[in-house]
Amino acid sequence: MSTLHSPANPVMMATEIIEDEDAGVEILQQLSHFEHAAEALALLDTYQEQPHLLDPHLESMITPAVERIRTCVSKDSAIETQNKCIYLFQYLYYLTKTRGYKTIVKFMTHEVADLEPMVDFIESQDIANSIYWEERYVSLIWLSIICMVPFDLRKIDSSLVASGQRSLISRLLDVHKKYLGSTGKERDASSILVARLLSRRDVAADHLIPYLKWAKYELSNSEDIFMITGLLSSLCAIFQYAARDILFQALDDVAFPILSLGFKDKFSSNSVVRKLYIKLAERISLCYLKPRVAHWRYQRGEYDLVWLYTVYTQKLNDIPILGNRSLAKNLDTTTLMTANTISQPHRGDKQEEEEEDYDDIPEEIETVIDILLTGLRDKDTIVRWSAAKGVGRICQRLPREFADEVVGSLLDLFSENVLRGADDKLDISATSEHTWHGVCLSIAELSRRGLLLPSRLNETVDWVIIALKFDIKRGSHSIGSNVRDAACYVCWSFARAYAPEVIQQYVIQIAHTLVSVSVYDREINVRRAASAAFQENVGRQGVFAHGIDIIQTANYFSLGNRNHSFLYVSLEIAQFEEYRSHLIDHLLQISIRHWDKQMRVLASQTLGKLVPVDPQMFLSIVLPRLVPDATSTDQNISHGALLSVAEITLALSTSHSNVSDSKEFWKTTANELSQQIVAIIGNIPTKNLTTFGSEKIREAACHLIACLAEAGVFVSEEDSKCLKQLIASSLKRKEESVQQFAVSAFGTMARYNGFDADTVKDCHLEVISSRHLYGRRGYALALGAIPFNLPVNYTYLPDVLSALCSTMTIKVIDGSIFAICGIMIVRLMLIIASLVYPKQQDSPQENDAETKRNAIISIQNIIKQLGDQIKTAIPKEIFQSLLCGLLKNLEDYSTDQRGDVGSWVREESMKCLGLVVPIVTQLERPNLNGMEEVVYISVESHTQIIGKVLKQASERIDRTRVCAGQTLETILQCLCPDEQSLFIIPGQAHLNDIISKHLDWTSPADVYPLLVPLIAVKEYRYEILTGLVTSAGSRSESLLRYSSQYLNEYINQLPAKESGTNDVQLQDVVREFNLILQNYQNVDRVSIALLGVVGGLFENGTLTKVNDDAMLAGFATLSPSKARITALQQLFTYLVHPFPRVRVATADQLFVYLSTLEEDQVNDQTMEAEELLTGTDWMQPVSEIKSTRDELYRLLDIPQPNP
Amino acid sequence: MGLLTILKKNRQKEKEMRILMLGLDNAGKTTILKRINGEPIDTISPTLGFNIKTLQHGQYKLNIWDVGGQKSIRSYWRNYFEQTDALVWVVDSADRLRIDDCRKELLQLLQEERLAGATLLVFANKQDIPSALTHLEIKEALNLDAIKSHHWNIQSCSAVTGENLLKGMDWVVNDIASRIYMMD
Repeated sequence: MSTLHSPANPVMMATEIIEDEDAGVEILQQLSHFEHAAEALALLDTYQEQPHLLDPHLESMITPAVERIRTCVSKDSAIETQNKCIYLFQYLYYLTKTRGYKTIVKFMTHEVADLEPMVDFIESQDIANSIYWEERYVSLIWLSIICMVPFDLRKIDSSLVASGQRSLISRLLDVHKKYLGSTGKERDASSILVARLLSRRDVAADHLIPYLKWAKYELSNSEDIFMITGLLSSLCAIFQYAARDILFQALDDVAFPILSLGFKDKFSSNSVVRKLYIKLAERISLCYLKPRVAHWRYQRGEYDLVWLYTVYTQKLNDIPILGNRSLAKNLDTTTLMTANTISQPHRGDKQEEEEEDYDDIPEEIETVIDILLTGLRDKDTIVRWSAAKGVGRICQRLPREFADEVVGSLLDLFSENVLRGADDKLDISATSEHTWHGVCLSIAELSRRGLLLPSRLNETVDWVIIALKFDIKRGSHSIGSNVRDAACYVCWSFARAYAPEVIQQYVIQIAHTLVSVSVYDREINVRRAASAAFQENVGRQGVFAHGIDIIQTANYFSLGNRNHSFLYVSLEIAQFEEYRSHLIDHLLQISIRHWDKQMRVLASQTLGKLVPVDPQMFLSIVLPRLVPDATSTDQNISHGALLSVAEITLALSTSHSNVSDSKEFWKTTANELSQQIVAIIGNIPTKNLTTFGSEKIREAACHLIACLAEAGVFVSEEDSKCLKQLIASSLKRKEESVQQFAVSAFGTMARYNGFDADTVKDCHLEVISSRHLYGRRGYALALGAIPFNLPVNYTYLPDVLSALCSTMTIKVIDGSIFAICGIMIVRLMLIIASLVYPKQQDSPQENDAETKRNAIISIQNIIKQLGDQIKTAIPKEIFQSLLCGLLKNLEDYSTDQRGDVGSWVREESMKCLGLVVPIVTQLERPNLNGMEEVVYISVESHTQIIGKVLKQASERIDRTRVCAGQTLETILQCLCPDEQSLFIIPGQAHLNDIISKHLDWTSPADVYPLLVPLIAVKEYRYEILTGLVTSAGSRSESLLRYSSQYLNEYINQLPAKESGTNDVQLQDVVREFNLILQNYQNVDRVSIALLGVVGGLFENGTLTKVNDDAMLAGFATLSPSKARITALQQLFTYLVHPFPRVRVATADQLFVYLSTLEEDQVNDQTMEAEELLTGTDWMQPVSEIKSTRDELYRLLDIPQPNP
Repeated sequence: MGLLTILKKNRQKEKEMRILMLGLDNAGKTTILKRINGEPIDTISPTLGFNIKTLQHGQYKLNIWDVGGQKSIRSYWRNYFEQTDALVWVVDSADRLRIDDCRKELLQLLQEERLAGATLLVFANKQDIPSALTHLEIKEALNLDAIKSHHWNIQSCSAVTGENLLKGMDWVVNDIASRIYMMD
C-alpha cells in the first residue's frame, strides 16, 4: 500500500534557503520572500493520506526553520520577526496540518531561554490580523512544549512581580484567554497551551482550581459559540493531562456541576458542542476512578500472520483446521519465547490483579453513564463515537459487576423499537440506525478491553449478527451501512480480546456471516471491513475453517469491485462446503430482496453461477422456495425471484450436454417444478405489470421467458400464448430497457421454439400500421432478433427475386407486396426500408428517431446473421434501396427537446455501413474467381459513402465523429488492405495516410488538420465543406477554434487565379459555398454557420481576392438582405417576449443596430424607429407594447410574418 | 470513520512507542540516548530540561523522552508520565553511595498510577568502570524481585562502549509489541 515518496524536495526547499548561514542578510531577505513556499506546501499535500512517511525526514525539515525563528524571536522586534518569518510559520503550520501537531511539536525547542521571548512575541500579535494567523497558531503550540520545562516558572520569571509587573504565569493565562474565543485555529492551540500550563505541579497548586471556577462561570454566562467550544476543549485537555489528585479537590463542587449547566441545551444544535460535552463528561468521571490495566493484554497480544501461515501449511496434514485450538496455544508460547530472549522477567500476577479491590463507586458515575448512553443515540457520528469511547474507558476502571450492568443497558438499547412478529421473527424496520451504530461501537470498545464478560457473549452475538446485515430502505435511500461497519468492528474486537476457547462456540456463526457480508454487502467499505474483521479472527483465533484460503481470496483489493466480489470471489468461497449454504442463504434472504435493483440483478446472476456447485440443492430446495416469491405483490421480492428463477433454470439446463437432454430433464425429472415455473408468468399480479415500477417486473419476466426458451423447458400451447402476450405488451412499453428485454425474449423464443409466417406478419403490421409510437420502436427492434441463419428461409429466394425486382422501389411498399411475396427476409427488408424511408418526413410519428435507430440496428443484426450469404438472400434492388436509405439517414439532423436525436440514426447508419461494405466488398473483390457478378456496390457508391462518412468525421459531436472515424477506417481497410488497392478511390493516398495514423477522433486538434486538406479532392469537397462549416459555426470553444482555424488557413493559401491546372482554387471553394447555401437555405444549422464562416473569410481578406464578381454578387444579394429580414423578424418577436428583461435587451440591441447604420441607409423611417425604441418603456405589459412593435415592421420595411 | 479508518490509525499507533528515560543525575541517560542515536558523546553536560528523540527501531518508531535527573528537577518528572509505554531507569552502577536513593526514587515512580502497565527496563550502566556493581547486585539493591506491578528486566550495559544498549532496547520494544494496543 505505502508508496515510497521521497520527501527530498520539501526538505531541500526548506533547508537550502534557510540553512546557508554565510549568506547572512541576503538569506534573510530571501526568507521573507520564501517564494518556493507555495510549491513546498503543495508537495506536503501529497503526504496527507500517509503522513507517517514524512517521519524519517521531519527533524531535518523542522529544525532549521525552528532555529531561524528562534533567533529572530530572541533578537529582533516582534514586527520584524513577524515579517521575516511569515513563510516559515506557514511552513510549520502546514507540517502540523499534514502530520498532526503532536508529532511536530516534539521537534520544537523547549529551553528556559525560549519562554520569555516567545511570550513577548505572542503578546504583541494582533488577534484581528488575519494574515498572520499561522504565526499565532504555531507560537501557541510552541509555547505549549516550552511550558513543560522542569523548572519553577516563578523562578525563571524575570519580571518584577513585587513592583507591580505581571507574572509570567498570569501573562500566559492571559494569552490563552485572549485566543480562547478566537474563531480560527488559534483556539485549539490555546486549549493545548492552557492544559500544559495548568497540569504543571507548581502552577496547578495555585491556578488550576481558580481557572476551573472561572471556566464554569464563563460557560454558564457566555453566549459566544466559539468561547463555549474553546472552554470545553480546554477543560477536556486539562482533565486529560492534569494530575488526578489535584483535580479531585474540585470535582464535586466545580467540575461535575459544569455538566448540568445550561449551555448544553442552549447550543444543543451544535454537534461539536455536544461532542465536547460528552468528552468532558467522560474525562471528569475518569477522574473519580483509578486507572487499571487489562491483565490479559500480553496473552492476546502478539500475532503474526506470516508465522501462522507457515505453521498452518506445515501442519496442514495432521491437524483438523476447524476447532484447532492447539494452533492458537502454540502461537502464545512462541510469543512468550521471543519476548523473553534476554532473561525471564517476572510477570505480574494476574490473580492478584483480579482481586484488586475497588473504592466505592461514586454516584456521579451513573449520571455520566446516562449522559453517554444518550450520546450513543445522537444523530451525529462524532458524538456517538465520543460516547462509545467514553463508555469503554469508564467501564475499564469499573468493577466487573458494575461494568456488566452497563453492558446490560447497552444491549437493551438494541431491542428498542424492535417488534416481534407472530412467528417470533424480529422486525427491525422501526429501529434507529443511530442507536444501533452507537451501541455497536460501544460494544466493540468494551469487548476490545475485555469488559464484555463471556457470559454476555451469547446475547451480544445474536444482536451483532443481525447488525451485520442491518440494511433498511427508508424513503428513497437506505440506512445502516454504518451499523454494518460498526458490527464488523465488534467482530474485530472479539478477535483481539477473547481467548479462542471463549469464542469457539460462536465461531461458525460469526465466520459465516462475516464471509457473506464481505462478499455480498452493497458498500465497498463494509465488504472490506468484514474481510478485515475476518482476517483478524483468523489471525488471532486460528479456528476459522479455511481461514487462510479465504483471506487470500477475499482480500482488500478483490472485494473492491462489487461485481467481482459477487461473481468471482463468492464462487471461490462457495467451493468450501462449510460456507456454501450460508452464502446461498444470504443471497436468497437479503440480496435478491434488496431494495437496490442492481443488487438483485447481481445476486440473481451469482445464484446462476453457483448452480454447478450443487445442482441438486438448487433443484430441490432453492427453486421451490423462489417460485412463490416470484408472484409476490412486493415488486422487489417478485423482481429478484423472477430473475433468480430465470438464471437458475438456465444454469441447471446447461449442465446437460445437449438441448434434447435438457428438454427431457425438464419433462421428466423436474416436470412438476418446470410447470410451476412456467405458470409464474401467468400468475404475476396484474398490478405489478402495470403500475409504477412495473418496468422492472416486465424486464425480469421477459428475461425469465428467454431463459425458459433457452433452457428447453416445455411450454404448453396455452402457456405459450400467455408468454407471447406478455412479450407483446412489453414491446409496446415506452421504457427502452423493457423493450430490450422483450426483444431478447422474442428472439430467443423464435430461435429455440421456431416461428411462423403469422408472427412475422403480426410484427410487420405493428410496425407499418401502428399509430402506437412505442410499439413501432419495439417491433422494429424485434424484427432484427428473428433468426435468419436458417437457409430454409431463403432457398427459394432467387425465383421470386426477378419478379420482385421489376416492381420494387421504395415507393411501392404496401400491403400488396406482402401478399405476393412469401419470402420473409424480403418482407422484413421492406418493412425496415419503409422505416428508414419515412413516407412523411413531417409527421413526428413517422420520423421517430428511436424507431429509425432501432430499424437500423435490426438491419445490422440481419446482416450479421446473413454474413457472406448476403447476396444470395437479398436481391440487388432491395440492397440498392437499403444502401440509399442508409446514406439518406446520414442527413438526419432531427432535433427535439433532447437535442440532436438524429445523431443516433447517423451513428447507427454508419455502423451499418461499416458492417455491410466490407462483407459485400469481400464478395466483389476483382478477379477473385474471374466470373462476372452482379455488382452491389459500385465504385461511385464507394466514393459517395466515403464522402458522406467524411462529412460525419468533421462533425460537431465527439461521439459521432469517433463513430465516423471508425467506420472510415473499416471501409478503407477493406477497400485497400495492406497498402494494396483493390479498388481505386479518389484521394486514396491521403485517406490511407489518415487511417495509418490511428487518430484520436475525439480530439478536434488532431482530426481537423488532417481532414481539411481533403477539400482538394473534388468528389469529397462538398461534403467535407458542409461538415467543416457546421462545426466552425458551433458553439463549443475547442471545436470552433480548430475547425475554423484550419479551414481559414487552408482557404487562405489557395490560389485565386485560374491557373489552368486541376488543383483546387479559391473559386472552387466559393462555388461550393454557394451550393451549400442554396441547398441549406432553410436550414439554420448550416446557413447561419456558413454566413459566419464567409464573414470571417471576408474579414481577413481572403475572399476579396476573388475576382469573379458575379459569383460573389449572387451570394451577397441573396444572403444579407434575406438574412437581415429574417434576423429583424426574429428580433421583433423578442420585443414581445414574455420576459421583460429580454424585451429590454432586444430594444437595446435594435437601437445599437440602427444607430450604426451607414449614412446612405439612414432615413426618416429609421430615425423614427430609433425614437420609438428609446421612447418606449419595454417593461410594460406585452399587451400595451404590441402595437408599438408592429409599427416597427412598417418603419423598417420588414414584412410582418403571419401569426 | 469506519473500521478501516480505525485499523489504519491503530496500525500506525501500534508502531509508535513512547519511552521515558529517567534516573538519578549523572546516571548516563543522555549519553545512552546519544549513543543509540549515533551522535558524539564527548560534549555532554548535565541536562537542564529535557530532550526528545525520535528514532526508528526496526519497524517501530520510538519517541524517547530524556528528563534531567538533578534533585531539583525530579519533582517535575511527573509532568511527563502520560501515555508512557515504557520506563527506562538508568543506574550508575559505580555510584555505590547513592544506590539507596536510587531505589527510593524508583519505588516512588512505580507507585505512580499513570505509569501503571508500563514496561520497566533497568539499565545497569557504566559497566566499563571496574568498580561497578554487577546487574545481579543492582537487582538485589533495588529489590526488583518485589515488583509485581510491571513487566521488568535488568540489563547491564555501558553507554561509553555501547555494549548491550541495543539488546536492552530490543527487549523493551518486544515487550511493548507483544501486548495488545488499546488506543486510549
